[in-house]
Amino acid sequence: MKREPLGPGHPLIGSTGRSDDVPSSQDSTSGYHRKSSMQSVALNPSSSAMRAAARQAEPLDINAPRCRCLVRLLCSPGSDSLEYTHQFLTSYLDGRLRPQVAQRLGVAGYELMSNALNYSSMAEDIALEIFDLPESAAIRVANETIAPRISMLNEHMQKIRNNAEAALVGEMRRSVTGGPVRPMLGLARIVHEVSLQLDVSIRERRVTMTASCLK
Amino acid sequence: MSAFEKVTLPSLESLTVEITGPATVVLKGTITCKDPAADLGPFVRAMHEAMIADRVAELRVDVSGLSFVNSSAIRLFIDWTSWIKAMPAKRYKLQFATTRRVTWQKTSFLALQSLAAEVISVEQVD
Repeated sequence: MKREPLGPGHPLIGSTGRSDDVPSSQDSTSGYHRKSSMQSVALNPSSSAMRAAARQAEPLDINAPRCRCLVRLLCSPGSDSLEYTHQFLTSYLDGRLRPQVAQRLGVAGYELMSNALNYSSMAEDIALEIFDLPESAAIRVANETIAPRISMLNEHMQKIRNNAEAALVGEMRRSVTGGPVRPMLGLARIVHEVSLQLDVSIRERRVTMTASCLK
Repeated sequence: MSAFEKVTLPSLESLTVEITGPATVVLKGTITCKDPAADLGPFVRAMHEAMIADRVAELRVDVSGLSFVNSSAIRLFIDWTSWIKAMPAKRYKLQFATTRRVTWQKTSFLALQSLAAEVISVEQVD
């Protein structure tokens, strides 16, 4: 299976949750400088989840020698596969990982897949993968998307990076007030609710989102 | 028979709904359907109208057995609180019974409470 590199050299547009990302002076779609300081995103530094996650500063390197792809699922854009995929994922993760880690990755898998199905172009299949490293586990979803989604995603990721909790509450508030754009709770849930590191990369119209945590 | 007892319960494969008291509803399972507003919205609306008809001060919603809900289902809870807030004269309170063991419940209900503290309270059952 061809593996797309996702190390520090990857054209990452952003990573959130556990790293301190500082936008470069470049175009926002072209890259972010990354540094490993943990200070600015600590929503609740006393929680064990935050402390554990803080140890994982860099995006998950799926090219690492001991990184294994456990599962790769392909779904057709526009298909009605979300519920079945979630059922499979939760059962699989429950059998493979500690309950709390399985639960957190299950939420990420659902929300990432839901976004991919909602915003995917019809050009290519949506790919969902589960990765396993000795210390961490990750779910990655990749899909081709439409141009308006990319700018929306950049803007939304910036809000989450600034303050995931505020982004979640803001999206909830937007559910009540309404507006032209559908509220987007999913990504904020991944970062704030289940405390996963969320890495996003965009190459042309291909969006790859990776949610990871320590096991 | 109260209006609440006459509410038709939804039929969803992954979800069990029980009315266990004069103002208590228990939700167990998961909500993963694509459009919870379509599948569960009418039931939630019916409960809301029943609360008003029965002039009940508080409805206890036990979600501690609800292991996963998608974002659209969270929006349904948000809608519910906004319906109550829109009717100050006939307002009742929602008391959500939650568990610390299920991650989504901790953060989502805290966030919901920050938006609608006057109409919801959150209790941890374990």
